[in-house]
Amino acid sequence: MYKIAKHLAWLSLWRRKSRSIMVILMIALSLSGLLAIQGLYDGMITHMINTTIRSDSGEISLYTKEYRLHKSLAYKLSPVSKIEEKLSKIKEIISHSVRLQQEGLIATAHKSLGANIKGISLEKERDFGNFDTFITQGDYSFGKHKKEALIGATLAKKLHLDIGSRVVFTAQDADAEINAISFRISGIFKTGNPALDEYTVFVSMEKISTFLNLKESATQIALRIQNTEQIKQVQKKLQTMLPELEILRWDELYPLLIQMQEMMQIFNLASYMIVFIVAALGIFGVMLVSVLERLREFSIMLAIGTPYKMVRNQILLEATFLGLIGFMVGALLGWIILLYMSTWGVDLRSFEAGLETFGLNAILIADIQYYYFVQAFFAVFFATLLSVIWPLRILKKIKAIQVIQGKML
Amino acid sequence: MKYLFFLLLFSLTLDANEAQNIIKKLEKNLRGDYMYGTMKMIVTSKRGQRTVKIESWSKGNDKSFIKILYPKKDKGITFLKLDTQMWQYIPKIERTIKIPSSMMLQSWMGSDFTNDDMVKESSFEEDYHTKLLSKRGNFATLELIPKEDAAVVWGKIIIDVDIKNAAPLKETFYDDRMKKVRILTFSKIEKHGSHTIPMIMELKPLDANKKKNSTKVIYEKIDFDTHIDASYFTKHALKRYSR
Amino acid sequence: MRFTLALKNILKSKGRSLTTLLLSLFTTTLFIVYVAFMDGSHHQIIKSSVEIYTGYAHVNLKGYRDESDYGNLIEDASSIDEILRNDTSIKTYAPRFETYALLSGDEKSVGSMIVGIIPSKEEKLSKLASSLSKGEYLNDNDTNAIYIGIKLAERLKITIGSQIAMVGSSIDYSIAADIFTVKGIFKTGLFDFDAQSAFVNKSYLDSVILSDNKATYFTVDFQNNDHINKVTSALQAKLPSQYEAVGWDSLLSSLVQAMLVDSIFGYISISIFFLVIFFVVMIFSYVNIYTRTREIGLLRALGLTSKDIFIILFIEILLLATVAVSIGAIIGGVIAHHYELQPIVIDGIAEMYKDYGLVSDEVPMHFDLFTITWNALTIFILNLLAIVYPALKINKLTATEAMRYV
Repeated sequence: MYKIAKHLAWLSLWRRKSRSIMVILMIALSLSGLLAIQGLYDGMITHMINTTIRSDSGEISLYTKEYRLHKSLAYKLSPVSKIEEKLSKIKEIISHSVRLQQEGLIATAHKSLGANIKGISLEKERDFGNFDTFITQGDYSFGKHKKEALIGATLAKKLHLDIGSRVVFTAQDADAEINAISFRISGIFKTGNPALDEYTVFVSMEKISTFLNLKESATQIALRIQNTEQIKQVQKKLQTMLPELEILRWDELYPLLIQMQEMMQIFNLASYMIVFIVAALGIFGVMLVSVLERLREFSIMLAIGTPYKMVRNQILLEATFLGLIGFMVGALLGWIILLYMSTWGVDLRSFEAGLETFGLNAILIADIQYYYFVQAFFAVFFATLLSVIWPLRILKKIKAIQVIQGKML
Repeated sequence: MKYLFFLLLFSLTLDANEAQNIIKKLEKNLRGDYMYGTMKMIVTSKRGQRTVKIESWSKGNDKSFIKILYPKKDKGITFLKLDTQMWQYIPKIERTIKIPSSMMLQSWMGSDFTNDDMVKESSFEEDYHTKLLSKRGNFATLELIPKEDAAVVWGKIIIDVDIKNAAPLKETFYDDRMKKVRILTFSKIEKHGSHTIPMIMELKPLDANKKKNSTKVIYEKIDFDTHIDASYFTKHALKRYSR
Repeated sequence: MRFTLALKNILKSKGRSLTTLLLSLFTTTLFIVYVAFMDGSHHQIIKSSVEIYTGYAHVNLKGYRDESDYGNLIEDASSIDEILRNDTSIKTYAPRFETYALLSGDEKSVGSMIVGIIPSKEEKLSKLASSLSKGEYLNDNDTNAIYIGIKLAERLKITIGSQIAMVGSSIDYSIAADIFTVKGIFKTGLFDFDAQSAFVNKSYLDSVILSDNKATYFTVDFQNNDHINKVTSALQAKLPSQYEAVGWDSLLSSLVQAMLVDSIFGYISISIFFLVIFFVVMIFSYVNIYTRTREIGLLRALGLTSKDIFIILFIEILLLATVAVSIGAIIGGVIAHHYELQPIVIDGIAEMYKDYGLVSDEVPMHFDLFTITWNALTIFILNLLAIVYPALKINKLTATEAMRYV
């Protein structure tokens, strides 16, 4: 019996071809649009979170408790090897980066600006987050004698620096003595993190340690954790192991990113709701009419003893077919668009200035997640169900005989 | 050929040595173990002109004590610099304040000198490779290229020197791309005890937005030969010598 | 004749007309409310960022934005004051004098921004007064009182009643120094702002740094800040040529860029909405027309051309859409207007985002006639476009085919 209903539903669907195609197109096109925008949004946020983690925070960062407020070398992490030894015992940590930072003044012959100098190890940063991929000009290198430096793109622009330019960095060392050191620029980087791009110069750890008159010291140790699920657990473990330190997750260091992610999720949900409420109206229109114009047909079926259930099933199935085909076409189309956008990206060069603030390239790369399709499926499913409620109620209320006699048309 | 090359090399080193000697003499002449002086600084900027008078005591390169004499509003403000640290005493609020490094590097009292010029002891002799560009009688022109490790912002400095008096006449500062950034000219060379020094010094920045600026320093008194009491180079001096 | 026929058709099949009417009405209202809400939340974000301290527009000397030093001051503040006072498009304004100085507590010295403000005026222009966290806000008679950021207080290790020394530079570049007593501590949530700014009554600061009748800039709040470019250029025209009026969009360019990116996504979503609305309207028109196939066949048989039919259908939808869209626009407008005046309150949102400077739980909608008009027109045009395909399709049928149509 169910089979017959299915068969009938399928047939009647194609009896009104253009109407069904319109509904399917509506579902498919709006769905693929929603999928695309969701993928783009996610891609954007993921990219921002990723670059932040890769260029600075890691999944977890260690500081001394006072450091983030005072930014003074008095609150340094030392000795580093002791901390590293403890870190090596936690197997979830796949790599870490030790950084030593001091505020000071960067000067050229024309201008001087406040800036941060940060000592790193190039090899470790590469393992840590492929920092070399942020280089937009020049090389990822401190030169043969470690006398070269990498500089943030915005800072370089403000000081009119090119590769090979010479800068002098002046800062207080650990004993509060003012020292100056000169570097040539070997590379310019752009991470999208304003703290780095606008204010930071990276130099070799050895150089800055001698410059600041420090040994075995750091201001930050950033950690990469293998799995997202392990982050909180590792954080707890570290807190008990190193109670004197401040151990912060990336989302605690950059709460704005999480906030953006939440906002985007809300936005996505709202878009889905609005689109599918409207889409449900469309399906409803088609279903209502197809029920109304076949009232006589259904009445006859009911009159000759067909159970109401079967008629209902037929209508439900009709709507479901419409929804399902719409979903499949839309999902396929959306998937193709997403696939395209995740491999080739979307060129947003005209909005480049705007995107730069977010640390994005002009080419936006979309994300693809399975749950998009699950979410989309449920949206279509509910829209379809919603759309047949009223037509079914009409059907239930009909008095078969009167309809056949033509009184209700 | 070989001979010629050798000769060339020899003459070059000779030049380098001669240039080095000139610089050495110059720096020795301009710096004494002790220096006491009073000077007037005239700062011209977009907003007009202003004059400051100061009195200064210094010992070697590392220690100096400065007191402002004019304008009246600032009279009695004292500065002490020991090595790379700096303090300031302000009679109006009766406080001695240590100047943090970030503030030390700003423009000094509105002049085109930065505190950097005052604080950082970059020495021509130590920080630069020197080359003699030309020499005519008593006048020579030297080219100073910073050594790779030297923490100086200049690309090069060209100095015109009066060799007899071991005094500079003009210093032109270039940036990294060998573009002129500022010119320092010296005049009124006078002998004061064991030193012969220019009494007037004028700094002219060449950056487009600083076209109207200039800073002129005129020494009124200068003395390299009198011992300065060590009491000037202590934090107590800030308040004590303020009046 | 065609018009009366169309009108008759509408009136005859009330149910059908009502469905079309309600659909258009609903989509128009929905669309207007959505856009009003989106614009409203943008406005709210801008409002909270702009109103913390920056203000909607600045008037400053040309060149000040590049080189914010004493070389680029407003030398005769009272002349600018007069221009601003006589400008009716301006709600409030106030001069500020921003300078950089060394603040020194008992233990520590920190370089910080010091701003001379007129406390009573600033209360209306920025969130300084309402960001009070401890102690008291300034008043116009204060002298040696200073109002400092909470992080700055932490850095200086001081609290209410502590004395701090300020050493800076007067505008003649002589040394300016004074002792201030901490009167209040504020917290805006913006880390950098809280960590390096302090406020002093301008009339007193003027006596310390000799800045009487001088200002680094004026901050301006217009009666209507919506079209900031228009109002700033209008103001610009009234200013002497060496001054410039700069809108918040230039002052907070990163915020503008953020809004821009947000708008890109907003517009993509809106086009998806259009797409789905277009289809729904088309489906309804299609269904509507097809249930009337028989009737149309009859008309054709009576000698009407397919062009006549098309025009009749078009007039019908034109009439329905006009009514529906107008009513929808009015309802949408009323909703937008209502929620602009009485914003939707999302409890706790300000608390949650306090760190980002959001200071209110209210998310108002934005009521703007121009936006509503273009929104309504878009739906209207979509309605008209949506009938093209079904009408053409039905005209392809011959009269007899149409009459036989079940």
